[in-house]
Amino acid sequence: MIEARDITFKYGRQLILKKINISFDKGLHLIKGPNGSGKTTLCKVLSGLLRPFKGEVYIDGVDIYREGNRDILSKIIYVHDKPIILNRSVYENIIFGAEIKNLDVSDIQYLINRFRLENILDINALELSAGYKQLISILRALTVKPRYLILDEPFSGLDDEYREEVIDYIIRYSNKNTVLIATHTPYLDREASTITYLNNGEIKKRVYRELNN
Amino acid sequence: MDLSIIDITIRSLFVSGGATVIASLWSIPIGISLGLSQARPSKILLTIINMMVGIPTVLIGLLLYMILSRSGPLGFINLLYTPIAMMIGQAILITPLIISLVYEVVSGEAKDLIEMLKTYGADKIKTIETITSEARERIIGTSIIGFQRALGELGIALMLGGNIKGLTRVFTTTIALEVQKGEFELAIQLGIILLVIDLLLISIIRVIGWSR
Repeated sequence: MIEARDITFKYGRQLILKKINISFDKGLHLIKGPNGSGKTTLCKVLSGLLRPFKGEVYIDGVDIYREGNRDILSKIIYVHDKPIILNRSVYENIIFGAEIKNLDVSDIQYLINRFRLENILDINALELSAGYKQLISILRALTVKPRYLILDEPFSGLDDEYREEVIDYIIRYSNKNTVLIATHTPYLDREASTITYLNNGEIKKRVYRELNN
Repeated sequence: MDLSIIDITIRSLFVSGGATVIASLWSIPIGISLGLSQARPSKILLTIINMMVGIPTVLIGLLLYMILSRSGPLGFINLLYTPIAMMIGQAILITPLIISLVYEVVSGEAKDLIEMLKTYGADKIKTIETITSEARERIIGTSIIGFQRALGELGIALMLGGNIKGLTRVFTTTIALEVQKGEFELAIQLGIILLVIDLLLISIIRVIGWSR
């Protein structure tokens, strides 16, 4: 479980997150809200990328911002809304994260086949379309099989076909893992375990699928 | 072409090129470290470095003159009025500029990249290696900008080099001298060469993407 307790975050004097208390268990969770509502900041705070001004973040009961506990972050991967693509081949981009973590990349072929990337593996990823870059960025995260996967606007650049396939894969992935998605789009509303609505850095509403049905 | 023009051109490129290599050796690692650091002392250091970017060349010249002159603490090494002294002075001049620009590349352009590396658990070495590799063209661009600044400065070259014919005479000092003498022909010729080199450097910087 990933849990935020009393999270407050400031950029200079501007309060971005105001005393956020929330937890996410196994399953698919959406974070929604207008631009500037704090979605990205919350995702980054939960991923260990932005230290909150106040409050704690726990992953499986371990405070991730406490000195000496940073190893716990190996369980979590955050994927940016704007894909981060390296000046390397598609293949090298996809396995980049797994290589850092010294993970076996032998089963990556499954993902490559599934998303029909066989013919572009040697192409420099920077030369590809925005949709491909988004896909590569998501696949890079999936190859390390994180227990907690946080995706920031993952569908913005994807075309309809790839979007359906990525959604399908993520839904299945969330059966065994915790997937958090910050998004404007309604594509996963029906499948999500919870939908959290943020506004002005505060949780305005949280909807549970059980209540929806 | 006048042989002295070739001599001055080669010496100018050698002195400023050497200064750029020396300054880059320490400025690039410092710029990367500052770009990666979130610590408050780093930000304070960066503010000081940024303030030093516009430091007048004659001030550096004066300071080094006092250190390198015969009665100065390093007078015994006899560096004053040599190309090496000019090189050292120019290296000091462009150090804050290169650090500041490299910081800008790393902290601005590479901010998301650093976060991505962090999320995958990259250690410091892997982070530096990846950033240097991904931003190499822009980092080289910072050195070229430093080279441009060194090539065009006058104060240090004049005070530490002394404008000695055949030894320390470079573009800027020769142009200044020729204008003082009222002989504009050589000054104009050197000015054009300096301008062409400058335009060439700007083109290189543009091609490698510094101005993106």
